Amino acid sequence: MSSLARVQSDFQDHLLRGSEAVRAHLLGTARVPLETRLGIYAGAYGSRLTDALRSNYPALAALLGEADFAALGADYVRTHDSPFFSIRNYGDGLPEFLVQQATYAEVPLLAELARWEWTLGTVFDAADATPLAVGALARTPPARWAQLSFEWHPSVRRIALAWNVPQLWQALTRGEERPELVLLPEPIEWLAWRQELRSCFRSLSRSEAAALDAARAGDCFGELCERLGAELGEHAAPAQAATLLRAWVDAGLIVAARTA
Amino acid sequence: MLIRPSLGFGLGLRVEHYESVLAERPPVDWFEVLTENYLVPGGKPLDYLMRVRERYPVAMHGVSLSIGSSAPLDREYLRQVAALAARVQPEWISDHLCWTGVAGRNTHDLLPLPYTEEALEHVAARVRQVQDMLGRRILLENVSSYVTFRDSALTEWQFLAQLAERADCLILLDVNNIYVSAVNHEFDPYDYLNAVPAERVQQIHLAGHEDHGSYLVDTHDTAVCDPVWELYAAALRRCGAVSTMIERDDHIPPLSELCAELGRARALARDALGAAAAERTAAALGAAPQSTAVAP
Repeated sequence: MSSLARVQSDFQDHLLRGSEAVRAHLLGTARVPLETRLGIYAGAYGSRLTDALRSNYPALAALLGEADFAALGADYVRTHDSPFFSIRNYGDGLPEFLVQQATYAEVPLLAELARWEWTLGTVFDAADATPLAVGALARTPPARWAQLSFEWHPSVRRIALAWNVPQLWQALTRGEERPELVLLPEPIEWLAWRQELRSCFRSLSRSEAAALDAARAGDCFGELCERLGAELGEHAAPAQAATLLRAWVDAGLIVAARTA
Repeated sequence: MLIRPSLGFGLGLRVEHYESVLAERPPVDWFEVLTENYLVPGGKPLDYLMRVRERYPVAMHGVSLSIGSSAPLDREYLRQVAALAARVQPEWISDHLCWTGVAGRNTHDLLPLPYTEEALEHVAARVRQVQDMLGRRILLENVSSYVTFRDSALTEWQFLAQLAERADCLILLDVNNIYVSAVNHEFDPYDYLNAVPAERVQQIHLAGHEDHGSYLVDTHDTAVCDPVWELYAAALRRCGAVSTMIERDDHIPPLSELCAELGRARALARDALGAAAAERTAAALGAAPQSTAVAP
């Protein structure tokens, strides 16, 4: 290892793990001892990464309050180095961390709120794409509809939540009165996406969620009709499939439709 | 002439000011944008950036190049910086004379280098590589620092000057960082300033810091202080009219307040450059008495 590599490795180990080997490479002064000098870097490292978490998880931070969020930040930073060149991406493992750590796992809502916030973050700066024009599908000859499959806007995300997290998130980010926390009888399916620059979300019925997931996985329109047919009967299925498709196109979820 | 003509007086583009910048067209000559904030696939950040770019010149300022790291250059990062530059067409691209991490980690801090021949050769070679990859000279900024390395054989200003020469790169001179490091390491900031190769200084940063009594911390969360303004005036007298911007990254005030602070930089530059021009004229007259004597 070169001398530069050794110095940098020791310096980084000090910031990340608190190891003291770096001291051998450094000088303090009578006016400002080395302890103080290194403390500036160590303090800045922890607070910068915790700030990044706070900015990626503003509702979780508001829910926990300053001291508890700082404690969570310190726990997470100690166990999660950043491999990212952009600090914006730091904190991707926080939902999982909240599930795994006994202290936080006792309140499963925390992990769910974190999962929701991270999902919304990825919606916010997902790639741009031009949605399919509302009238575009009308030009497809009826004989080819069954083979139509769809390309989705890069911002489309799906998530199932056991708690009324989106309502809580909304209240926390707007500084409004928090709703009572409710563990739902069964998880609710949610869709989040971006329409032009506006981030949107809405809940889905079980049936729509299944159809949407299948269509995103590559099912063509004919297969969607079959899937819905099992649920609604052969006659009602095509109309319902068309209704769903229309809603997806209107919302800007679909960027292209093509026949195989 | 190595450097570009001055763009005038700029500010860092901050999320808090996006709407005001677009709606009010503030009296700012150009904006510096934090490169990493826009290394995203799409959405609002890039949309705002491109709309600001339609109205103002923009320079890209990065924090993750890690030019001084002993780890290999991050080619994926550089590819994304190049792609953003192709889109934004910035006036220039800058980053810091520092390292940010090794072994696949990023500390997200601007960490200091030992000023050794080994580090100098290493960094110079990497700057040349980056400049080849980006197809342009880059600017490197002096950082604030809090520790000194036992092995350092050069002063920071000697290191910076020699690096700029060996790598043929440009300099983003952060006057506040010179001041902060001067207090922290007990050197004379004017020794630093007077050793900087003026012909390579393409941009100047101004910012505020936090005073801890025996040392200063570079925080970018407060107004520029008087000693830094004085150092700035001296920098202008030495380097001439150089694109200048004020960095504010925390406790961000309304845009109008930063524009007022920028007004102080403009006024100071008028005085300093006026005085510098007068000095140059006097020197020229003094150096050529015979020609003035024979003039009709």
